[in-house]
Amino acid sequence: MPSSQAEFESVALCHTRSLLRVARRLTSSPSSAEDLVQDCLLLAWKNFGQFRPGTNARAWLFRILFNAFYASGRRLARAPVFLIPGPAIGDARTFSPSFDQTVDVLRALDSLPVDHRTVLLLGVVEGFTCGEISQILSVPVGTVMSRLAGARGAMRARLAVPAQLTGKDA
Amino acid sequence: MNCRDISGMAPLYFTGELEHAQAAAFSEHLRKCPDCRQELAEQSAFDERFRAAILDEPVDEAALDQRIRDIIHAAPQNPHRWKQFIAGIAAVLVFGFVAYFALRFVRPNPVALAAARDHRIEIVDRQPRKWLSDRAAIEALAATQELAPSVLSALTPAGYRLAQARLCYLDGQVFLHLVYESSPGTVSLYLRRVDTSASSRVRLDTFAAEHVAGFQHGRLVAVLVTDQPDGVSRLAQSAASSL
Repeated sequence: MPSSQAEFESVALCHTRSLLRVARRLTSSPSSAEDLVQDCLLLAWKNFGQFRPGTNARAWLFRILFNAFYASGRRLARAPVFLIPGPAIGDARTFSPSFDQTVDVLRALDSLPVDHRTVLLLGVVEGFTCGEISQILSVPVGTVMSRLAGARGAMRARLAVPAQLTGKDA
Repeated sequence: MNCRDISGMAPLYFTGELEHAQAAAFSEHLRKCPDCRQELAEQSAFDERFRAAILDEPVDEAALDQRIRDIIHAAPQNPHRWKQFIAGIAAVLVFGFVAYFALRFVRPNPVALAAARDHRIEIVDRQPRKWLSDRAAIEALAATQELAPSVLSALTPAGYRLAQARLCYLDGQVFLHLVYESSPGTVSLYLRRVDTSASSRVRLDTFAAEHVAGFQHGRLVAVLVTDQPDGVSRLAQSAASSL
């Protein structure tokens, strides 16, 4: 096996799971997510000569993933579903007892605009800094911060229950 | 720093990107403001539970991972394409460099080529031209080209006699064409006085059946043409040494 293949596998393919996890929240079906990640990794392989060893491979791969996603004209994009009615923002501090149930979180996340979904996944789940997200998405850091604050607020609002059900003051 | 600043900078706080001074001011505000402390604590708890919920979702990347490996192994693409590009550029440059010097130094001397053609046309094919065969007339013609009779005598190859002469153009320049004859054959000697003095070694060329030897001695340029391959070099060396 040529060393470049082994090098690519060790540098890039170890991030397939992370890429697929994010792609599934961007696209409309598991097969679309796999197609997107496959496109991403084959593009990365094709351009592996441009990757500088020692730099952030995860950020490089996610940048390729989002470039491929946006290049698709968002035809793969998951439409917001709004399955959970969002309460008023003033109630957002009070979480539903079922908040830790994955399905509720996923449904709430899917109801967000894709730009908000993206920064939440990259920042909170994948652990990228605002600066790294800025480079991945090619947007200013201030935009990332604004989207993160908005996405957090929207998620907390969607996962909150009316204050009277918890017995707490809003 | 006020509560609004805290809210705005919270994303940088959670990702640890606050600069030292900002982090100090941020902490100082949190120490004094219970509302902001509670808000950030709840946000942190939300992030933790959100992350856990997303990571709990089952993701099976094995099939995709294997498919990618199969594609890469089945149709490997050279990831170092830029190296090929650089190598290609280098090859083109080397080729251009070699081609330049080949054309610069190996291409036929235009005067030598013209002399060979002139010899072929005028001597071998015997085109009907007006030649001077009288020695005095030839020397007078040579004088018009600043060529002294002594030069003509010195350059006469051993065993040859000066048969005829005329003026001709070689590569746009006027040369005195002297024709020497002997039993082995005929030799054409083309002479021209030039402005710049120089000396060069005898340079040999062959064009079809014509063998050419040329050299410069001082301000005199001489080109010999004959159909004798072994003789032209010797004749040229002899002529050059006689000057």
